[in-house]
Order: sequence, then structure tokens, then C-alpha cells
Amino acid sequence: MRRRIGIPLALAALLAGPALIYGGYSLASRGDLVESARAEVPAGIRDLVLPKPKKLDGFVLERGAGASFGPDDLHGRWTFLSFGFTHCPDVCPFVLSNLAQVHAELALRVRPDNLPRVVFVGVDPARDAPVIGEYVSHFHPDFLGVTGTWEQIVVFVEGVDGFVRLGKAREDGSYDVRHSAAVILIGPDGRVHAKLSPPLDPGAVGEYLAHKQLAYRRNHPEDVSR
Amino acid sequence: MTASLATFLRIALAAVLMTAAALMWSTSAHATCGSVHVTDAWIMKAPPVVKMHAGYLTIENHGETERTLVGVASPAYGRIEMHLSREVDGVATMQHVSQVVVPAGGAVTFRPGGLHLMMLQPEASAAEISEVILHLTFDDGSTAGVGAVFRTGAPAADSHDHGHDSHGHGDRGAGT
Repeated sequence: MRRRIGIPLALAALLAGPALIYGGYSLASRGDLVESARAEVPAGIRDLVLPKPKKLDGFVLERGAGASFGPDDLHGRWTFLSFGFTHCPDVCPFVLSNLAQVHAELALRVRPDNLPRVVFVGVDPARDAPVIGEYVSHFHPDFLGVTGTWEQIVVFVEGVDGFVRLGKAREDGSYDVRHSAAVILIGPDGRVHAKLSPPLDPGAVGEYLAHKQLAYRRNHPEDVSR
Repeated sequence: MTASLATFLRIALAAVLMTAAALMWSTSAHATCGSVHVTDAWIMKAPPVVKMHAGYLTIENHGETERTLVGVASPAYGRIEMHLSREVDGVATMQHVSQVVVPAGGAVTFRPGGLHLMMLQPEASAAEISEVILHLTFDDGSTAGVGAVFRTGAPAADSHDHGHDSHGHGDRGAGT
């Protein structure tokens, strides 16, 4: 029975694969991430896997106290990265507390040195820069909050084929911030491997990451630490 | 005798019917006043540096006419707005909502990533008190009050179910 379902799916994947690769993933990434039909993806995970993991370089962000955050800081460990802003009462705290749940679940499953780091990129520098470190550490002391100048943020967001836009200020000075909703999974090679649609189910993500790590070790036998 | 019995019965029947009608009327009037139930009100705990909070609740309408929520206020906040978070083409956006219709016999739930109360200018003590009173105003002028508690995240009901799902998958994966 599983075979019979599997063949049309495999055919669909064969047909859709080249289309995705041809279209580039920037087009696909702007659309809604869909529930995956691939066998290794646990139920409840909506993801977009990059056919070829995308290298992130040429960006500089700031992690507070004058320290920078660059491509080298993404190497050596898996990273979950999400965009947001500190004046976002609904989605951002929800995603961050969700990532804290994921982090707690992963802590039970993987070696401490293999535990992914969690990075929150504040895309509203005027309001985020003074408070982002304190804001992010509220959700987990190990979570890292970074931001930068508007230009630096745009460079980084475009590097992951994301989206960010600040709205016009209203009379009371408030303004809207729109940003990519996906949680980005970056490998120990500093490349974007997948994008996941929140909220993330901690158990399912644990399983998902285990598959990714296994595949990564298979493809990178030289990277013995991972 | 027969005629007077019939008259008596007719009067008695009328009385019963009138009583029943009066009862029904009073019940329905009562139901209209109390047909809206507000439950599960909570506020997402935010880092102290954040001066705005998001609130969530469920409004059940047990009445026979739709009810429209037009405003929410609280002594613990300077201003409360209704907002809708939406994900459009992978981009998180938020829009202001001026009213929320609760259909007759239906319910509306404010939840993370959807409808929420944007609660601005918290009183200094809002982060320390455990419960905040919310006053809901409907378009017919009626009001409802509810106490909201602070929580770090959404109630775990959904993720609990998913957890079981993923366990099932894990077992299957290990078996093949």
C-alpha cells in the first residue's frame, strides 16, 4: 500500500524537482511552504529544502556591545535563524517561545556540542538595537539576538532570499514591520539547507534535524566533528 | 357543564400557553444578555523591555443573533487594539481590525499568529500582577468582563497531539 502511494509521489517529485531547480529557490521561497510528501519528513513539518544549500557570505550584523556577527559565526554548528522585531507582540514572542521548546526537546536528543544555536535577527534596528540582547535572552539564555544597520539587514535578508519592509510611520510614530516568517535552517557549513514554517513541533523537528544531520555527515565525511 | 368545562379548559390552556410564552420570553431575554461567554483569556509574557503585550481569548456566542466585538479595554493598559497577524506569501504581516463578528451559535478564538489583542502602554505593575481584567464592548452597547492570566506560550494542547504523532513516526522509522 505504501509502495503504491510512493510511486506517484516519486514521479511527482521527479517532475517537480527540475521545475524547482530551474525556477531557483528564491521564487519558491516567497510562496507558502507546503507540507512535505517526502518520506523522511515527519508529519506536521512544512518545509522548503534547497536543492543546493546556499552559501551565506558577504554580510556583517551586530550582536551588541560592538561585537560583529558574520559568516564565520554560522560555521561549525547547525543554526535555527528567524526574523522579527522587538515591537512585535504576537508572532515574534510566539516563534521564540516555540524555538525554546524545540531547543529543550533537542537538548534531550543530541550531544551538547551538536545542539543547534538559535539566532534571532531583529530587522527594525532603530527599536531593536538597544534591547535585542535582553529581549532574546528572555526566551533562552543561549539564544543570540543580532541586528545591524538597515543596509546590513537588507544585505543579509536578501542573502537568504527573504523579505523585509518597514511601513510608513503613523501619527503616533508607530509603524508596521513585515518580514519573512520562515525559520531558516543553516548547516555547519554556513549554508542555508532548508526553511521551515512555524510553529515547529518540537518532536517532529527533532526527527527532521536528525535526518539532516545524518545526511550531512554522509555528504561531508571530512567534517568529523559533526 | 360540558360548555363550562370546555371554557375552563380553554382558559387553563391559554394560561399555560401564556406562562410558557412568558417563560420563553424571559429565558430568551436572559440568554441575549448572557449569551456571550468569554473564556481562556491569557496574555503572552513578554521580556520586560517590551512595552506592548498580546492578549488572546475565546468568545462563544450561545445566542441566536450574531454579536460584534467593537472594543476591548483594561485598567492595566493605556490602549488595546484588535489586530490580525497573517502570513502572506511567506511574509508575516499584521493588520488593524475594527470589529470582530461572533456568529450566532459560533465562537471566535484569538490565538498566536491570528487574531490578537495588541495591548499598549502597560501600567508599571502589569508585568508583576498575575491577572488582568479585560472589558469587552459589543456593538449593541453590552459588555462582558474576563480575567486574563500571563503565560509564556500558547496552551500546549495542540503540540501535545503532534508529539504523539511524531512519536509514532519515530517508532515506524526505527522499525524499517
